[in-house]
Amino acid sequence: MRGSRGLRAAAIASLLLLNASPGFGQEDERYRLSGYVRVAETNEVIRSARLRVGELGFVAESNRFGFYTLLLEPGTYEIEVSSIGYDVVTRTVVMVGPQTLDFALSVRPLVLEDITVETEQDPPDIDPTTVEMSIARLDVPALSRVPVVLGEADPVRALTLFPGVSTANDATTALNVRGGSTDENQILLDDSQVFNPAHAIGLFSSFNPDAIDDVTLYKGAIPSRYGGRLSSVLEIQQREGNSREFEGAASIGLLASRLSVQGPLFDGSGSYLFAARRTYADLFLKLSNDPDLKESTAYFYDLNAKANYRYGATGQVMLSGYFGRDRFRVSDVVSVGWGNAAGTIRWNQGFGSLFSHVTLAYSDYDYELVNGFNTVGVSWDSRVRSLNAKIDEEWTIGRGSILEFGISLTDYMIEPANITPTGGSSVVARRFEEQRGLSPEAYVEHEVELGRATLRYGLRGTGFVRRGPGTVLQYENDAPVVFNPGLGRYEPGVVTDTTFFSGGKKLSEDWGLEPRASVRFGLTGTSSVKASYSRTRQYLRLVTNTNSTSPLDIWEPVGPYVRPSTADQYAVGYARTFSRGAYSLSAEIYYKRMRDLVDYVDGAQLLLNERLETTILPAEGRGYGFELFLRKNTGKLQGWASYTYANADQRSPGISAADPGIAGGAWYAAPYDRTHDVTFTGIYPLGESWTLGANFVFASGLPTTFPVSRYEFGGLILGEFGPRNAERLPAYHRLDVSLTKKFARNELHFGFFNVYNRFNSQALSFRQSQESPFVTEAAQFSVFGIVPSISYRFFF
Amino acid sequence: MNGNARRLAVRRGALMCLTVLMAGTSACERIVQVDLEEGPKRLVVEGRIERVKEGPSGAQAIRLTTTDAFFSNQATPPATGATVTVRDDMDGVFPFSETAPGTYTTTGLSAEVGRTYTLTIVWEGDTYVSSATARAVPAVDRLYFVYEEETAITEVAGFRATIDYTDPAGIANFYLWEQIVDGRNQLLPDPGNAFNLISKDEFYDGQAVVAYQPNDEIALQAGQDIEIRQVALSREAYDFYLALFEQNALGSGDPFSIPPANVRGNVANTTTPDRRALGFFEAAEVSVAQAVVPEQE
Repeated sequence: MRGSRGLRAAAIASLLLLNASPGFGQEDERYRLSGYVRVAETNEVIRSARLRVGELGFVAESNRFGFYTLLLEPGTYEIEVSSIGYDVVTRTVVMVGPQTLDFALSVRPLVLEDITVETEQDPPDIDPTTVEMSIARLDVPALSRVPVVLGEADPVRALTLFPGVSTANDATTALNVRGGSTDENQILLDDSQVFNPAHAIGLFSSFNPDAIDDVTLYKGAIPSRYGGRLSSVLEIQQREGNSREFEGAASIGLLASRLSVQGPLFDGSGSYLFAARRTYADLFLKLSNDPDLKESTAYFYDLNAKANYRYGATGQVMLSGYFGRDRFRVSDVVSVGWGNAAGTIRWNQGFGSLFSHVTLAYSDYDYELVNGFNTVGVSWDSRVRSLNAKIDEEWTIGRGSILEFGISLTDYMIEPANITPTGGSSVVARRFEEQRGLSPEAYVEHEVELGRATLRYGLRGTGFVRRGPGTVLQYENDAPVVFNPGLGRYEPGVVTDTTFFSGGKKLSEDWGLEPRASVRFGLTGTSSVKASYSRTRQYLRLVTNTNSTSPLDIWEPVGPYVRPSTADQYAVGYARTFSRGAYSLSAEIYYKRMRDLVDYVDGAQLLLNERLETTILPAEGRGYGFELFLRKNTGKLQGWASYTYANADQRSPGISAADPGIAGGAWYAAPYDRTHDVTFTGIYPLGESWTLGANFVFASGLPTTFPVSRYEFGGLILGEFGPRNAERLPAYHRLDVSLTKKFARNELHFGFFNVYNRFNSQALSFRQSQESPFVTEAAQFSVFGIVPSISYRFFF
Repeated sequence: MNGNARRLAVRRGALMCLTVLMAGTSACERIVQVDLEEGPKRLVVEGRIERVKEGPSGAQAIRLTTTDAFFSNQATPPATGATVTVRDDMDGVFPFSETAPGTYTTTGLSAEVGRTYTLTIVWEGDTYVSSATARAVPAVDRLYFVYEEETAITEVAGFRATIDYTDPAGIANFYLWEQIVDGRNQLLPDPGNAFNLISKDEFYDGQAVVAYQPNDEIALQAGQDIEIRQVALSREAYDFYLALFEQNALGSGDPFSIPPANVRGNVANTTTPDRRALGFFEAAEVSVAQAVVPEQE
């Protein structure tokens, strides 16, 4: 097995380190101090807050549930707790035995009047004192001050302002992370995976900013507890809700209205949050005189709900749910609707220095399409469902030594298509075969401080077992795709046999190990170098070959003919804070190698195709890049700047030496290969109540393909194309500006997306003119010109 | 149900949504100048050997043209001076002669269902070969005209040519419809239109199809002579037309369109394999129905 030598070395090293870790075997000399870090005003937890033990100078972080554990020798300590957006709290703690202590931090007003550089600073997400690297963490409260398209603050779109994160065009929020495709991001909402978090054909993500308080994107150095996708993990946590008092907020925008309420439950030992959002463009359609438009509709909505109950010092039970749906209907001719449903139940409990969470998560994505165009009218729907149960443990072994481990089991069920005739149609009802799979996972990870160095290393084992019922076709020479050299094209293989596997029988199984390791070495108190390696594996792929992913793309699991994809990523970085913490800087380089990807043959029909293996060629990918991130944390002007240089290639050499693969089997630019990407984001207070926000983005154009000649067939003019993705679209740039006026209980937000109305070409088509059939032309398309927006928000 | 449902639905849905969302913004398309490199000249074959179900098949024609610079903006150059021969699998040989520049015709040949025809072209020193087997087509049961009112979707009011046909059960059928208006084949470079012109029976095998409008975007005028030709395609030919229409539809700027790719036909160059011909050669049974568009009542 590939990488087995590395694994053995890691195993040996882990044994050595566990023995060498300072806390090991000395447990009795220290007492445990643990508890939650919370927001003073609402009692909500603060994730990733930093705790610094003054005398000792070492730091710990609250985990993603806001829980922290410190092991301290008997004595008196000054403990200073800080987190971005909150005032620093310092408390004196006397350790004479184990104790539980919650820290409460007050929200710091966002608009700072005085230019003062404070002595104690927020911990930025590019902290030189932690081993974590390759992370983009979004400050959700600040999101409301940053300009956004159409007045809808979108946490996923905002991530494109960070280095290494981009989208194919302005019409989509599907992310390309460090040269990975859009289906390589594991998107978790309260631990429930969300399969297609897109509204309005991708213009907006499913995440209502009122309902969430933490958005963390792991672009590399992915902690061992996460997996399932090659390129990144996007972890989104819904807010817990205010457990001190009732609080409500509502906003009215051009596109949508939002409402959120939160408050205490069970006399303050619990809290709830409920948030809703709905667009109302469809109301204007009703005013139309046109009978077709009058009967049409176009809307989306989101519902977010969360409730939790706390008991004892560390126990907590949490329920979280999300429902979102889009519906577009054009008269009775066509209608399309899709939506996600996700739910999570979680139980958290501290047992001494062990923090334990048990999670049950359910997720469902479905779409339905009705086409009543003619008498072969059809309605078809598709669905992907997952049910996951897992146990995660966090054991603080000693000072700076934490062991995490866990197991998980996920059941997947995919219904690729269920076809039903519409009234009077001659279509015959049919259900495509369901695809079922079970994916067990287990991991262990140890983080340890060794003097000026911090080491984190872990191992993750995962598998995917395809289960019946299911039909597997056998092909001549085991080749589902064959190359026809005479005609220079790939064709489906010849079916020689069909095997039916009954319910529960195993169709195929794949297993693999994912080693991960990160190391930090502190150079000075405020700077460090970091390095990481991570392997990731992916068992589900989105079947798509269109320029943007669409809501109607389906997920395809690995199986007898599709192998799991793997990626190895190496990264080295430098992080430092300077000017007494006023600025933080990180620089990283990475190299990524991806194997067992798929590419589709020219002319592949992916829609309603039960034999997708006949359209797939094996492929591989590679990417490297340099990322620079500078953040200004204090003063009047706050914000960040980023620069990315990146390269992403792919290659599909074909099945055997005799066939050319795709693009002659040579490396070619991936469709999302963005060479340069520069962003600036800033917030600046104007007087007492106004805040100015701005973004500037400059990026290289994406690859495209040019024709080298044209020909006619059946009266249609077609291009004959040159090498794939060998040319580039023009560079992309734009400036967005926003103004926010804050009153006592409400605020008014004005925004301009693409202020100078740049025509950003996001597609280039070579086409036959509709006016004159012998004329061919090149047309560029842009998504957004200048887009003004206004929204009003009030609190109650 | 052909593969266009998603495309149409999503595109129309997307357009609807974007139109509403972006009212007042300047999102748009513009025509630009692009410098292109010019690739090698290739032979393009458009050939179909037919048998008309309802009557005499008439002369068979094969059209040969060549590729041209992408922005040449002139009539397609004919490939002249070629030697064109079709052989059937019963030792029948049918030479074609060039009756107009690039158009090669023969009389006395009519495709027979189940028989395989091999096309050989010798042009500019290279020999090109292709073969096709003629497939049976069900008859157009009825051709009539349905009047559509003008709405945001229908766009132009008027009669639409409408047909009924019955798909034969138990075999995979693939269809192409040609709509000939006053003697002219109306295949317009309009993606919305093109996707109704082909269909496969995967989801309606053996069913009677009623009131199908293969060309529902073309409004007809009273008194026009309409001929609908229902052509039996092979699976390969269907895939070829689908790829052709998809590639031609890229000009809409639709974000859900596929990236540009070369459409591969079924004509091989046996002399210089890398210098493949473009286009397609097929053999088919065709059902023809004719009618005159009535006055609006």
